[in-house]
Amino acid sequence: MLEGIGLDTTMLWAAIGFSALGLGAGAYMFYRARPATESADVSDIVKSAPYHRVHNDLKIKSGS
Amino acid sequence: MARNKNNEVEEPLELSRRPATALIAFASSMAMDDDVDEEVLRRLIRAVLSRKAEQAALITGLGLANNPHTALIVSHLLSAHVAELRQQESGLLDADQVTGVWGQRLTVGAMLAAMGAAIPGTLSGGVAISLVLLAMSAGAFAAAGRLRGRAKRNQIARNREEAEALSRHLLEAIKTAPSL
Repeated sequence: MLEGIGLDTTMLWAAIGFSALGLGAGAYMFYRARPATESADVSDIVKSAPYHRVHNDLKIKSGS
Repeated sequence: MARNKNNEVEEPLELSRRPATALIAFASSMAMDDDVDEEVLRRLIRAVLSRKAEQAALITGLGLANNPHTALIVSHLLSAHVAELRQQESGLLDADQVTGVWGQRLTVGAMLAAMGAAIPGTLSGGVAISLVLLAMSAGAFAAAGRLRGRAKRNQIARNREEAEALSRHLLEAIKTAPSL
């Protein structure tokens, strides 16, 4: 079955396959280096933090 | 209550509500056995580390706090964050050394195969030229990916160093705190 495959076909697909693997590796590196998607906004957390737990240790302004 | 040189009672410094003070509040809350969401802590630590003003506010706040355990807890949370960053860093290094390097090598192999096939005439004309061009572009893409990965790794390393330094300085802050 494989005897019919010529040298030209082999070289063609070897080069294409190697290039595809190289492209895949590059894409994987880009994927790993993607910036974090979570939002940097923490204002809700800052508002709802348990400030009453530190009122003996530290004065923190009430309100924003 | 502290008194200044004119023997007047000094009001303790009031800190504003910001990520640094929120982190101190969560740390005290954890010390009192409250359940605190890890994701909330992670986001707060990132917010504190991303700005110099927050880092300064954290050092000031923990220096002023009457409870040294809070600083120890915050410092410990920062150390855990450092460990997490270190893990991300080594994951990126592994990806670079395995996938990145081998991706580049494969594209060089593809280029040599295409040229090697073109020289004796096994492949010719447009096919050979397109193959060489394809291999070259794949090589450029793999190199760009590696560069991006390394840039990300450097950025993580810088964040980690900053977190390590802050964790160390918090411990210094409680040693030099006037209230202790």
